[in-house]
Amino acid sequence: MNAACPTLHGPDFLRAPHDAAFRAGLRDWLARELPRLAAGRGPAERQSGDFRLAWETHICRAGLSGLGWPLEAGGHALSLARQAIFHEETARAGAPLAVNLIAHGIVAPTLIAFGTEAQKARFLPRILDNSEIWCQGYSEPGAGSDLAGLALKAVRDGEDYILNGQKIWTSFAHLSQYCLLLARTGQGSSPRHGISVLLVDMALPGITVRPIRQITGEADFNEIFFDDVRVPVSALLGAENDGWRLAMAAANYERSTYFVPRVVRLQIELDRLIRLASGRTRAGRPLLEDPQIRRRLGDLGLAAQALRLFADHILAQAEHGTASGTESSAIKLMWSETHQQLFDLAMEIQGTDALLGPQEPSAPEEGAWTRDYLWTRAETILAGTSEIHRNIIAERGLGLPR
Amino acid sequence: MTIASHLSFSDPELHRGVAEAMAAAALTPAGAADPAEIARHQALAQDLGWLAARIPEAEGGLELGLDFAADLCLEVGRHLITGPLRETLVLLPALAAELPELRPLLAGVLAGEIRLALAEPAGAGAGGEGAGDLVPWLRQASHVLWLEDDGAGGMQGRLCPVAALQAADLQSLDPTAGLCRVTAVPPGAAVGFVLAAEAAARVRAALDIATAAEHLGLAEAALARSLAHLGERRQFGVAIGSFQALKHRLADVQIAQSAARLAIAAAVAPGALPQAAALARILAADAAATATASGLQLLGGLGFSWENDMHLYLKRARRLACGQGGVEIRRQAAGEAVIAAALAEAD
Repeated sequence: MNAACPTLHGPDFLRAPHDAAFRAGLRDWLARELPRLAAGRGPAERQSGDFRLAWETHICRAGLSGLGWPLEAGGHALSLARQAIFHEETARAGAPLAVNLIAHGIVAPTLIAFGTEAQKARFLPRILDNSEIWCQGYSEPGAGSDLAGLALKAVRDGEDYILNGQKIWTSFAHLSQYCLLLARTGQGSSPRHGISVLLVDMALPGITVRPIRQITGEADFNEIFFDDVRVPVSALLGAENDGWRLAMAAANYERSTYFVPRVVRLQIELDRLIRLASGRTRAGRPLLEDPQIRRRLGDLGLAAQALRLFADHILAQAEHGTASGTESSAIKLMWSETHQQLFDLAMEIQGTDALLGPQEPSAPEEGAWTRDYLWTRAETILAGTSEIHRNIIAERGLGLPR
Repeated sequence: MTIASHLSFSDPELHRGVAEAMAAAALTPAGAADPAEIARHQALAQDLGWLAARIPEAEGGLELGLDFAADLCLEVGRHLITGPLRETLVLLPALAAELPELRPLLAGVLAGEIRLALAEPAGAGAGGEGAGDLVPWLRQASHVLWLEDDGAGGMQGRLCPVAALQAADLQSLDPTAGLCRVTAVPPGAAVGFVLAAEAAARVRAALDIATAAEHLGLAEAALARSLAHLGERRQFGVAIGSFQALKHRLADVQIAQSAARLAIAAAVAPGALPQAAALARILAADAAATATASGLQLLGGLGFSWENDMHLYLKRARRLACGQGGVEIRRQAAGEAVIAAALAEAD
């Protein structure tokens, strides 16, 4: 029973005696619920922010959130193995990607670890039932890879902080009620030592959200301008000027299961791509007769197998309590680059359909292949650029000089 | 020296003993063609019981798992140990497990008298079946094995005593391994055998795992040498290891090795399918290719010099990658299986 949310008891399979029964129960549940919600919606609509949010909220209201949270925080305290099974099965069922992943994956675990009782009581229940959406106010025009160079100021004034500055690339800020904000509250001995984390109400006066159009055609990320925004001191998470440490801890919470659904999805996308290719011709000949195409599809399959080994290994390490420092960077690199190669090939396999735009309704899968091709260009940039991850592996993994 | 458990496929203590012995026996570039050096390595393998690793206890062996064989072959690669160890230590016992008529050879293996070299088909020549074929390690072997797929999942093979055939010495690409061309195989000198698909799959998997592990050892050694050089070499007032382009190259080298290591671990795990061994061999060959090529590049002129060991790793990796039809055939077969599985699901 979720202490914070008595109604979110959740389906019975959550309490199954062993993992195989958990998996089977979850699979059945997904096989009933997802088609019911997706009924009548085409591929484009099923990828839309609206549907993604509707599905996510449905899952949460059914009690399937807070899976890994401690019981006293309102969670189910499921094992890592069961959390991984949940991610795997939802990916396999073709569930849409989450919208509120910042709240579930970063804000909630950080609140549980560092929040006051008042903050936990105020925010955790509404993350559990998905009634509040969060965005992550980290990057700035002048602070991307060098996040510690952030300049948005939070100046103490009585019982408030006054915020001035700008954030950029903030996904779903236009839908969010709250923002996990990194702000500069001091000038420490190094840039990292003057940063604080604030939990900011997006409805406060002085906050302006401006959508930025992505190359995919949608505008899911934003600039956020803060002009003399007053937030109460109670919005501070953890200690003042200790924010960098919290932000680094926050980045680690999802690490062990983060790639489980992603590698499952990649395998499914590859299988779909092979089937797409089997129905296509080029210069009058079946595309799958082309040894180059077969070779590239085959190589993607081998990469998918290697990625699965990595994901399982990272999960196993987490279950044994051993930290993986550079392995997360390795899998992120490998997954993002393989994912891009998959959609590069998809664009070739699409032939002249590749001329159609990402929102063109008559395109195959209503433009999904093209939208995903464009979207994957971001995957080597977000969550740490490939270049940064290679630096991490070289410096922290191989010991090369900084 | 300790070995972190994550760097061993089997018991780290067993692995450590092997690693220390091989490090102490390490080959020098000058010794690569030196008969005394070769003999020293051969004796080592026998004295320390490595040849007994995959032989059943009932036949006088240690009956250790493929996971230990993988650690052994890893160190063979890392230290460029000479001799047909992969073939004698892993392949021959794997064949003997399927073919009772080969079991009497195992006593000879333990005694250091029987060593197996694996022939590579190189086009027909006059002089009997097998003439014209290339055999690494022929002069260090007592028997030559021909092994080929029958096209239906099985294998057929022939085993011939070295004393019965004639061979010419060739310059080998890999200076750490002698090479011969078979010039004559008298009729009846070779004994034939056949392996059905399931048995063939087990033999193939064993050889794939051993080869993958040796590739990984080469890759790890090349990376270690690259890192050492990058720490010492200074240009423009700094250690060249601080240059991002070189860091990024070695990060990719490391990732390839991590993938290969995970694949070998999966292939030696209980209940592993033969496809896991094939994946391991492909990934490890790729890891060795990139590590040795990068190693040569990062060492600059030194990397290109015969006197520096780096070329030995490059060349041995290339030799192993050519074997049994080469990595590309495996890559193609594994890829075809991916496509077939996706299309089958749709039906």
